[in-house]
Amino acid sequence: MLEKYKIIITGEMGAGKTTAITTLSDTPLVSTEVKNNDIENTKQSTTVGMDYGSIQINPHIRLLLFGTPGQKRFSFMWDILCRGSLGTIILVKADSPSLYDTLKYFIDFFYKHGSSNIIVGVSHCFEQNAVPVHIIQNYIQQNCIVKNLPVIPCDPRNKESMLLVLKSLVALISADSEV
Amino acid sequence: MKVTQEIFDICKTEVEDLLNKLESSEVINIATSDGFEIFTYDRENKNNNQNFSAMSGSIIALINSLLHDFSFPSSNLLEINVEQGHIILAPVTVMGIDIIVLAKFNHVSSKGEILYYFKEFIEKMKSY
Repeated sequence: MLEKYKIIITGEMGAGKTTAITTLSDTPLVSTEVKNNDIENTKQSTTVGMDYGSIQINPHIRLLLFGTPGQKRFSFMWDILCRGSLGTIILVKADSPSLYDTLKYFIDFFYKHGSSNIIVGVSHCFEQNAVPVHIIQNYIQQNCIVKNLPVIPCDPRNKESMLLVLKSLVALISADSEV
Repeated sequence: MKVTQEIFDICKTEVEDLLNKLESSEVINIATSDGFEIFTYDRENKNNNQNFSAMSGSIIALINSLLHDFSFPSSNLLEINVEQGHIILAPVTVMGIDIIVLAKFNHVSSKGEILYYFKEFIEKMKSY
């Protein structure tokens, strides 16, 4: 029988959530992008509702991918979207000036809202001011509500890269359900 | 936020005009489609208007996404009827900026009256 897992892809604005779902989905993307009016971010458009796509990763499992808006003012959507989800991917930009605050905020929020299976995907790893993954890992261990989260470098534009993140999350979910 | 003083002034002027015509107006929140509050009238001043601004953007975007899947054009106006009154959401482009108007009305005015004056308000906003 085909099992369906609801997966949340969240993280700050510009981390690559919509791109990741577009890259991964084998069904047409449901998108709620509008023109961006935030002068502090140069992106042309931004997600204000949710993104939705899905992918069959093996004959038995289809992953339903729900992308959240990144800005805190849309956190009511995070609350709605994370209901019933089995796992969460938090995407962060390795070169973001607010990297640590963002990490802590998203990890705390989604953990407190019932996401026990969380993976951190780190995009923009090759940018000039990128923080190395092991430092991000150390930060999580010392400062976040959950300590031992897998942290995986990824490129939201690359399907293989994002599949690795997704399959790691599925492995985490499977291990969790066996305990 | 890329919204100019001119757009703020237009919103304020037109909302004041609407308030003069429709005494059942309780909340009128105007925000960019990505959730930045531009102008709000709140009769009782007890609501979280920043939340309204973000929510109206999300709701219209989700409705438009649904309409797109039905091959319909974008929504003109979304009306929600509740026991206590009506909530109306409408997207409108003012001077190149996509904005969303969210309004709450009580039952003092009839539904016909509300829709007539609200649509007139939207048309005036579009004309700038």
